[in-house]
Amino acid sequence: MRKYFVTITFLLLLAASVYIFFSPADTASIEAENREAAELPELSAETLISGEFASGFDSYVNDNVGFRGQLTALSDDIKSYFGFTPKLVGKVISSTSDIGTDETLETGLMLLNGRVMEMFSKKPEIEKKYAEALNNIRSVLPDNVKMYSMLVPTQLEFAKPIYRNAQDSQEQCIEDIDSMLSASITAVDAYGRLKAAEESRPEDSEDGLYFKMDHHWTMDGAYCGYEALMEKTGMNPVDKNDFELKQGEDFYGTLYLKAKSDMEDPEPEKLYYYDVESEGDFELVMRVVYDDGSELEYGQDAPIFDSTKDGYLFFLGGDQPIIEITNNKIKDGKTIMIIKDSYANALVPWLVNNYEKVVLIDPRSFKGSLTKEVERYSPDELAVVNYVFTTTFSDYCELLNDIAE
Amino acid sequence: MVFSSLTFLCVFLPAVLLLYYLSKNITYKNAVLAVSSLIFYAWGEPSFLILLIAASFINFLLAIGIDKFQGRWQSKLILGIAVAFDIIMIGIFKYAAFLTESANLVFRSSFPVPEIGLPLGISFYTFQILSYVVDVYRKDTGVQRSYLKFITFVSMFPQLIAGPIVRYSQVEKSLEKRNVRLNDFADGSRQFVMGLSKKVFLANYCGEAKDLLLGSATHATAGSAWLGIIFYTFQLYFDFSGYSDMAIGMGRMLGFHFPENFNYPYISRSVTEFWRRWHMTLSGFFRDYVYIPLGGNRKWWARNLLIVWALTGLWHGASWNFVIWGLYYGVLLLIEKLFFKWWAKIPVLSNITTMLVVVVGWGIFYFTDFNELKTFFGYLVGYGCQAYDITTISALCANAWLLAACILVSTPLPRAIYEYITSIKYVGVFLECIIMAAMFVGCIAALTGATSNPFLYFRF
Repeated sequence: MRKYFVTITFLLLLAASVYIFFSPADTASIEAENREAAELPELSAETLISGEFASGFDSYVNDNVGFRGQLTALSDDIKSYFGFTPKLVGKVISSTSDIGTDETLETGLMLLNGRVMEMFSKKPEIEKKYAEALNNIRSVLPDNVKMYSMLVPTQLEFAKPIYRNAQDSQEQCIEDIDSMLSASITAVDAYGRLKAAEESRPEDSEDGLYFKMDHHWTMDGAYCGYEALMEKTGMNPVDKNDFELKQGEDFYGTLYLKAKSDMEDPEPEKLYYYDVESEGDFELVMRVVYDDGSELEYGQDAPIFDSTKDGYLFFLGGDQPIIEITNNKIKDGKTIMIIKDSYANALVPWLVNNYEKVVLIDPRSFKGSLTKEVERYSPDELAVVNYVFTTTFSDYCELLNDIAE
Repeated sequence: MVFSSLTFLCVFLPAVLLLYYLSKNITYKNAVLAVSSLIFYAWGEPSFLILLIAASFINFLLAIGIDKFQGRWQSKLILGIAVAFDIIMIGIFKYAAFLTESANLVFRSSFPVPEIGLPLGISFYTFQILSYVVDVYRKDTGVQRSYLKFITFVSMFPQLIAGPIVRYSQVEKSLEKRNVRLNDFADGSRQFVMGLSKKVFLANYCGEAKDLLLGSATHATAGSAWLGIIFYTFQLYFDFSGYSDMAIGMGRMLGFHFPENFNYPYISRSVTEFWRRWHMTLSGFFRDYVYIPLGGNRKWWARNLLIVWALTGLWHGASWNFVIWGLYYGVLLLIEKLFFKWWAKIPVLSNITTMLVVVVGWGIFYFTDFNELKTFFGYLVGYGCQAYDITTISALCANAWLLAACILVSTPLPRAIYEYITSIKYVGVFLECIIMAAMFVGCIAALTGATSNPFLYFRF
């Protein structure tokens, strides 16, 4: 009797596997992962021989099985039975990180008290490339343009030593890079300001300098960077209390998506922002320069705070090759150019209060020449603002270097 | 294609079983098996399919030649040609780059290092073919005159790319005639599901923990180094033995009886015992085709032992760390045989020391780069790192029950419990079906949510 039951059970299980394969795809589960489902690959002699068809087909099956949402939820449950997570210890998981370039790096994520934090791995060889890129940018700038470098640390750097020490020191990385910069580049100490602000912040306070489950800083965090930059430029920072603090949409953040299966349904975070925009009169224009040198302007009516976008994209609607923001209330012609990653996006709402023009250049998508842009805008100052993890991406440093050529 | 993939479980296996059982005679059945095996192979390695077909065809013809001239000098000559051909083939595709690099290092030369990708499963199928031609020469087995049957033997998808290493004599009769009894199918399907579960629940998650602890994304500490290599120890065992169980299980579903490949190696009390229980078909191959022909225990046994273990190491990969790993075992076996036979009589202590030797061995096995290997052994004794950090503690807590499960499943105890509860009158069979269904559904779920699912023994 046993042989009948076992055989029938196994055959039924195989039939069920076939059934989930032919069942309609669970598109909602893919959307929840913020990506598109893999499509059935094209069948041709070429794709067959290269193995592209096989790997494409495997991804297609994985993404398009029926009940995918329930199955992945069950998978997460199974995983949670393998051990426990003491509140004080938190959890370290391995993940990957990319910053919108071709490179993807292995990275650790620390999950602690409802926060997800990237763990930093110092890469001295790439730091050298980063500093060289900045020095090359300096060498193509006219002498009268003041240049600043701001490297922004992330939140794990300010956690208690037992947590912080599980990663490489971001402070050391920033110090090492600053020491390699040419004398005519001024290092901006965002680190010191953030550290002081973090230390004076009550431990259980909800609003922080960084988002809980995103790798970016908040507008409060960016204010520290802004103060540090203003200190070096000799200008007075605006008082953040002059602006109304408003509550934006709920959001989770990009790191949440990576750590989701290791977290127990956390509450979404609220995005708070200081409404600089309604106090002023700003004009935005975006621009892309193509490989052949031709240009296209777009986004003329874009807002600084884009409430149609999720999460950190709220600031400027995300990254663009060039964004030019004019403050119509300032008429002194003062211009700052910023070469940056997305960290600068939350800094911009502060900077626009001190400059008539703020011009942002994103090396990941900007294909033009920095020299031409410098000629066009004649900036008084140029700042390179990046988060410290960019110094571990070799290709980002190359892109940074390329714009100086 | 890998067994633990949705493509295999939802599409390939059901389709093959259906077509196989719809085929009315052995020729059709063999054809279904051969064609599906070639598709299975080509799925991961389309460009090397031709090598598999060509190598098996040449050996197929040479074996007929050996048989034809049986007992005459021509037979020996053809055997020589066949063995040379197989060794040269594996030499070119697996060891060319390694040999050139080593030569460049020793002779300070600068021969260009050939860039040849490693054909999937070449170490396994070459050994199967080799054993066949040698066995035909030794008259240990009959010669196969049908290429369809021969390619069915060589390419049979359950054991094609990661073993067990099946000898022709073990399936010779089944290639001609096989009746799958329902008992075989039931036992096979159970072994398949258990193997799949070992791979998906234990090996994959141990692999994730190991990647975190030994990877570059987190800090190295002595604690992380030990914990990481312990997870790797379990990953290797459940990965490989899970694969073998799936292979043997599917073999039975298709009417073949493949040899077992593992017998609870981690409960061994000596290194000698460990190698009697680990990858038994490989040890068997080296014993019968290298050790004994060299003289075995009768003549120069210590030399023979070291040759066999250097080769065993090299079989696992074209890198010096594998040779060192092999010789490490060779030397340990030698020492054990000469001085420490009595040690295995002490329970628990001998288990612990054996596992320590095995875990350290997997350390040598893991790092193909010498500098990394050196640094890692430094970490094991706390040189250049902290004793532990939050990553170590977190990984231990987050995988505490996994680790306990791995230790438990490495012993025969869970199997004994399983056999006991499933043999309870009336309810046992239902429990068995429920366990099987729960395991299978869990595996499908875990594979759907999986981020990493490699088979370790594919690269050998």
